[in-house]
Order: sequence, then C-alpha cells, then structure tokens
Amino acid sequence: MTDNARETIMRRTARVFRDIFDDDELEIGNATSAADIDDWDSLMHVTLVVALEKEFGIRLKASEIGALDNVGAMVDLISSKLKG
Amino acid sequence: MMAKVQMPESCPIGRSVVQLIVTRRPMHRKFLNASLAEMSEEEHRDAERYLRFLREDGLDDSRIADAYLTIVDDTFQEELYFRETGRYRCSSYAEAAKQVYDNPEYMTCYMIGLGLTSFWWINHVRMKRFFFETLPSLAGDSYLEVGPGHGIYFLAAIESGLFRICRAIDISRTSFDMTKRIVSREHPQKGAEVEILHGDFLAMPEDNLAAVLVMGEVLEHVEEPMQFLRKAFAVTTPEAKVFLATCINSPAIDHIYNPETFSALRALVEEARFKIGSVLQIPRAGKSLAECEQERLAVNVAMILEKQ
Repeated sequence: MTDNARETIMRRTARVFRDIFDDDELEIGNATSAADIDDWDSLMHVTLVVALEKEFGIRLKASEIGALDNVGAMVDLISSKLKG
Repeated sequence: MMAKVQMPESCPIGRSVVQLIVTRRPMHRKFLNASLAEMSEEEHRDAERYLRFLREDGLDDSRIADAYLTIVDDTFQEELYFRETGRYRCSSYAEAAKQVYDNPEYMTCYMIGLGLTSFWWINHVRMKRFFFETLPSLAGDSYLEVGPGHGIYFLAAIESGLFRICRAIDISRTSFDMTKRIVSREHPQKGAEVEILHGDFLAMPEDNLAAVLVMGEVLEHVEEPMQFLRKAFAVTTPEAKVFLATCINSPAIDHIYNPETFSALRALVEEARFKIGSVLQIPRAGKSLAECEQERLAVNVAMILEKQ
C-alpha cells in the first residue's frame, strides 16, 4: 500500500475517532492507544469497531481487534482488509 | 517491557496469567486492570485459589490465558452482532449446543474462561458479593443449585455450613465434571451432605423440596425461561427463597433469552407466582441504569424471590 493510501485511511480513521469520542480536537497518531484516551474503554471499543466497519465496508474479527496495540496497527489491519 | 498488572504480589499465578492475557490482547488491558483494581485482597486470594485448582487439574498458564481470551473474543464478537442487529445471534438451544455444549473441548475452555470472569470481571464480582451477603438470609435445610457451571457458587454454599444438604444439577456433562472436581478437591466430602447430579432440571422429581434454590446465569441460556421458573416453584417448599441471577442486553455466544428490560423480567417472575424481595442491578461500567435501558447496554440482575 502506498504512503498516500495509508494516510487516507489514517485520516478517515481519525475522523471516525473524533465522531465516536465527540471531540473535534482529538489528535490521533500511529502510537495512539486506549491508554491515551480516557473514554476509550471496552464499551467504546465496540462502538468504534462498528463505526470503522461501516466507514470502510469491512468486517473485523474480535481476535484481530484484540491483538492490536495502537491506532497504527489498526490502520494496518484496515489496509490489509481493503486489499482483500 | 511487561505491562503493569493490577494484582497483588501474593497472587503469582494470577499475575502470570494476566500478564499473558494483556500481552496477547493489549486492547483488553484497560478493562481488565480497571476491574482487578476494584477487587479486595480476599477476592484476589479466592481467584488465586481457583487458578491453583486449574493448575492442579493439569492446565498451564498459557492454556488458562487462552481459555479466558476465548470468552473475551467470543463475547466481543457477539457484542458487535448485537450492536448491529439488536438481538442475540442464538435463538435456540440447538444452536447453542452446536456452538458450545456439544463440543467438549470448547466447553471445557468455556467453563474455565467463565470461571475466571466470575473472579475478574467487576460486574460478576459484585454479583458474587451480593450472593455471599444474602446467603446467610437464605439459610435453610436443603440447598439446590441449578446449573452450577464452574461450581464456584456451589462450593461457597457448601463451605458456608448453612445447609444440611447441598444438591446441584447440571445438564452439561462438562460442567457436572468440573463441579464435582472442584468440590472434591476443595471440600472434604461428608457423605450424603453433598449431591451433584448430571441431568435435566426440568425432569427432576418434585419431592424432596428445597428450602433454597439458586439459579444463577441460567435463564439467559434457555428458550423458555418460564418453564424454569415454574419448575423452580414446583421443587421448592412454600417458604422457600430463590436466588435468581440473569442479565439484560448482554450478548454471549450461547445467550438465547433477553428480557430486554427489567420490567419484562419482573413481569416474567411474577407470572411464575414469585414475588421479588431484594434486587441488585449492575449497569455496564460507567453507565447508569437509565442510560443502559436507553442505549440497550448490558445490565446484570440478581434478585431474591419468595412465593406469592
């Protein structure tokens, strides 16, 4: 995947995060994890995953999601799903 | 670098297993540590005792961690489904049996994982606290537990010394075996005081009535909860007390019945000719009961019933 394509996925992911956490100022990067966002708990995680699935038209498995460490890994997973 | 684990140093098995869990599932770390931080030292020691039992049963920490993560992953998957469709995936016992009960290897893993959640998930911990707090008020001659599952509540009832006879019945062979093992390992048998049956509660004879009946986390697994409540009525004395625990809007791989609201659950119980005494409702962490009802989020419910 090209850098541009990955950047696009990251931008779209960040938009989903801002929408889900209702914070237009929220800054998301590759290293961002649940430890960095107070409201990012298991409940929000479900909401986040559903929103990301809808945004990208993909299906994510619990074991795939659970193994992620941060947003960067999430973006990589989404990228791999989009490649098919 | 090892992630910080919210567990006392006096619980080395717990620390080892939790470390494996949070390494394999980093996204689960926040939830689990928050839950563990709320537990008392005694509750941590009880969890450690259970883990010691699992190790003595031949399981290593990696296998234990994997069993727990099976529950985490499967529950998460079911939560996604529920969020998208508004209903549980499973609509019949046959489906649940195919997924879970008829698969001995999965069932063992499932029981171990569920057992650990009863120690480590704060909603389950609070439910257990309520059970222990109300147990003395339930004291009677004979105790009957329906679906003891991992056997932890049944063991507690035996160890309380409050009942002359303790019986349990479980339709699952795996659960029956687990309950037998944990009781025989942790509690010296005293002859006829403890009876563990493998069979269908609905087919139990209606003599030998129980003064106390415990039905924890059963209704959500059945197609016809009214049948179980009516049977509970039939196998208990007129003055009996029933400890009933179930959940609302709480998807899991083998959950079938969802009352959807507390009002619906209350109506069901009252239709079965019980009246409700004490009630404990545990909303999803960080949410109020009103928010849970509005947003269809999970609520765990326990209630003490008496006959009308």
